[in-house]
Amino acid sequence: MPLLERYLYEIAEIFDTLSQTRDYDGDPKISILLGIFSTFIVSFSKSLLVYVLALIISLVLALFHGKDVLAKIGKISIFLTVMSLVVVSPIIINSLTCSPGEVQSLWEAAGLVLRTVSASTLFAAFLLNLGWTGVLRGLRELRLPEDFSLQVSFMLRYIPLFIRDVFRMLAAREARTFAEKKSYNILSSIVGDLLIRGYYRSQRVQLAMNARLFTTNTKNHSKTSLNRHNIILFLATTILLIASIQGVLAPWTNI
Amino acid sequence: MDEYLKLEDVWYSYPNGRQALKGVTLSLKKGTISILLGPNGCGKTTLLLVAAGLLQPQRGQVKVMGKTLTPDKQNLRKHIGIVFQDPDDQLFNPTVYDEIAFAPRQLGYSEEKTKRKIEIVSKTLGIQHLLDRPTHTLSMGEKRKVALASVLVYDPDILLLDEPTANIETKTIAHLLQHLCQAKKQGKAILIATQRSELAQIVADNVHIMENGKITFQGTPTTLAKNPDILQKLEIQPLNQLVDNLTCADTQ
Repeated sequence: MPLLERYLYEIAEIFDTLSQTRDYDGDPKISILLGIFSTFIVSFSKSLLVYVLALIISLVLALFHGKDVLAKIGKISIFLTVMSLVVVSPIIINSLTCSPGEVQSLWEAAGLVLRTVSASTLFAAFLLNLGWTGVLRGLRELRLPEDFSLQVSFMLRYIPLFIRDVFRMLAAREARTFAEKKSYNILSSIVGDLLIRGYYRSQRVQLAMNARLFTTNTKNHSKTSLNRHNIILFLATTILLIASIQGVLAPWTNI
Repeated sequence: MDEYLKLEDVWYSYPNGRQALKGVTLSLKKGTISILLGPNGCGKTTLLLVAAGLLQPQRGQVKVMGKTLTPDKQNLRKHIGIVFQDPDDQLFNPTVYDEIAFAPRQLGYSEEKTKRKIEIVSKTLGIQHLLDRPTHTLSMGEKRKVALASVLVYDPDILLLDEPTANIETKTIAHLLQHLCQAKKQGKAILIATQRSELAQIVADNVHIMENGKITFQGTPTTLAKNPDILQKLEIQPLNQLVDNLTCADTQ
């Protein structure tokens, strides 16, 4: 499979994994808050220990849901590493060519990559742990505006559909492209079509929604109930917090 | 009140100027199934959207349970359930349960009542095993059943269905028609927009034929059967009649 198609395929797969129903009996709003807080800690920390712990916690959370989710976390980490390396490549090239022997900027580049990868992987692990329905339940129970949770719901519902549309359109074009296959060339030709399709679909979805919207009040029925899942996530967040504080108190351990 | 829905001289044109409905008059009575037949692009879907109060006609009026449906009387729409042609447009919630629960929650039902209603409707349609599934992982037949359940759950008096038999196997079509007949017996007024003229002979009490934004025929299936030229002219007669003279299979 060409790289571009593989990339799209993997995105669709990740959304599918996210949408598989989880047996999540924890309180989703607490899990979401802990996820955001943990990601915040990792994003603003400079401690190598925090990054490593974040990656380990991500793997452990993924392991709870089997090899499939673990594989997805692995793919997300690899993808993020590659993308971050691309972003920091000017720093690395500059450091190696203009000032060889100077390692400070190389450390900074490594720190940037690690921070991006560990924070994003941790957040992805929290989301995969919660599952699609858990995320939406959490957002609703956090009393966020209904429009916001609906938008997240639409995004999760329609991104895989959109990607599959891309696949079908790519396949239909490739079936009639007899020269050497170059998916990115074909992809550029379907962007306009995709926008138009997206517009019309959104119009139809809006009508479908209006057909069952009789009032603007949406009731939330939630009560807080802490359990095993929340306690595990709480412990993970606490570990990250302690490691982060240790990084502040002992700056020589930072990168 | 036997006349549940009435469209009186309804005109609708899209913002691009295309005139989709040209003076349509139609009524749906309690406990009847009406079929709206017509070729592609004749305005069937637009008619359903206008009848459901989702598009506002430029001229004419839509009456639901004897009251005129206007943008400020949106509560009248709870009498109407519309099932869209493409279930992917209609099923926008993460799971089947949430999808079916959407309308009852909007109507302010308690979670208990919503759950009870979902149990009843999912049992009726045989989709209890799908309730936890994400909607996009369902087959087309399952999606159609869920779309119907998402409407039946709030018990509307009027059911509008846009091409409900498209892209599904015959077994599922048979189940679907059984459910519609059951809904008819419960007193619902049902309008099915379709290109499959054979449905008219199977389930319809009334047939409306639409052509280029106008209703050109209204009558019973028996009257329609006596005038086969009407369907022939629009080329929407049953497939077995269309291919009557076609023999391309090698029978030797």
